[in-house]
Amino acid sequence: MSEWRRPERIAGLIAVAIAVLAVITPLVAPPPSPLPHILPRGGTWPTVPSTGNKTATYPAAPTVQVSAANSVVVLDEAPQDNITVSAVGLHSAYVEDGVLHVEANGGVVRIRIPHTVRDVQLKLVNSKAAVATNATLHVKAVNSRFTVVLAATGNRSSSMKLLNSYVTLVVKHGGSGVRLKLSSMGGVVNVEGDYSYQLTMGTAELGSGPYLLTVDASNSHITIRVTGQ
Amino acid sequence: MIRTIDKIGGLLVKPEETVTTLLHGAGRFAESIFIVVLFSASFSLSVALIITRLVSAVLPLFPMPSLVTQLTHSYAAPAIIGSILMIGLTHDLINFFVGGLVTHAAARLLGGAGELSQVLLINGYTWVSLTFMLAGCIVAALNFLAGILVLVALALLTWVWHIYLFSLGVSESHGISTGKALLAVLSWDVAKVVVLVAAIKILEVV
Repeated sequence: MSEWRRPERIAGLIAVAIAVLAVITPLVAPPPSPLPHILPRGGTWPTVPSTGNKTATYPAAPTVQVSAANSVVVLDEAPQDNITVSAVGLHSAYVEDGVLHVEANGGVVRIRIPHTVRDVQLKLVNSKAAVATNATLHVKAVNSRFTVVLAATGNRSSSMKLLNSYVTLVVKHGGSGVRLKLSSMGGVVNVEGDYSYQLTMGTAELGSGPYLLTVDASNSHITIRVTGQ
Repeated sequence: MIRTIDKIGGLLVKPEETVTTLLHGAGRFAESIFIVVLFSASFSLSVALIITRLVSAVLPLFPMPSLVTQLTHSYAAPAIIGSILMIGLTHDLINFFVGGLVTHAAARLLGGAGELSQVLLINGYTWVSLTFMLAGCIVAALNFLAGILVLVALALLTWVWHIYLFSLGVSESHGISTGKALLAVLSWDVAKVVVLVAAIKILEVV
């Protein structure tokens, strides 16, 4: 029998290989997803009707008024100071006195905000209001519902400053890995979701004052429901 | 190196023959220590890397000021890896020396007439049994939850194989029955449990 076919030689080589692989595997294996059942990898954008898609371009730092329902409103930053808004099922999108007005069907507004969006003021009708400045979205809303689709990729993040006293965040799955970081300067934040894990990690007892919600997302969408005042 | 590999493999597929050979001239103390360090370091590093991956995946879910987050990302991984590697190596080297000493003393009490150097020699070679847990680490790196279950099962196998190899060695080196050798080997594990329970009781009183 060849020396290399001896059982102890083969077993020894396998044992040493296992010892080496045990160190190498964690280095080269794909990173674990913190929410594997909630946020599947390789997801795609939500499917939306493609009819009635309209686009309006307006100068920097406008106030955006959105009256929309079952529509998709996309804020995308054009080069530097111009921001493009488009919506599926859009009735109209126009700029008046530096204010962008968007009207569309349905009750859910989805906004895609590039990471570097700056000085955008977004105002939702029916007591829904949001302001985005330097990639920080300030939300002041009552019984409103809107979806923010973050275009940030990789390790880039957008931050959101919630001004309400009581905020409930509803995080829905979709897209690839989404990581939520919640920090606050006061108030009460509750996170609702279909999954107990989200409830556990998202609930925080806070004092009074504005909130800072930092969202680190990659091709994912997050639904945020704001209730109470 | 090839001879060392043969010895490692022999302890897995021909344990009785290999233990006897090691105790009768084939074993070397430096090689024994090398095997302890090799398998201990590999296991500790693997566990540390798996924990680091897990921590880096979970950390962003918890609210922390950005500075803390940045510091955590920058220093957590090296700190975790370094700590676990040091703790693992220290733990295993203490187990190697003190465990060998206690087992040798117990074997002497049970009528053995072997030498401490032989008990330490064979004790070091028994670290080969960590191969099973290292295989579990590979599974854990690919799938954490499944890996934990596999690791628990393989930890039991690792312990059984370690006890088996060590008992063979103590029996051979001290010239006592395998049953007595098993008692001597288990004395170290019993001693550790007693110390642990005593420490917990003391902490409860304090």
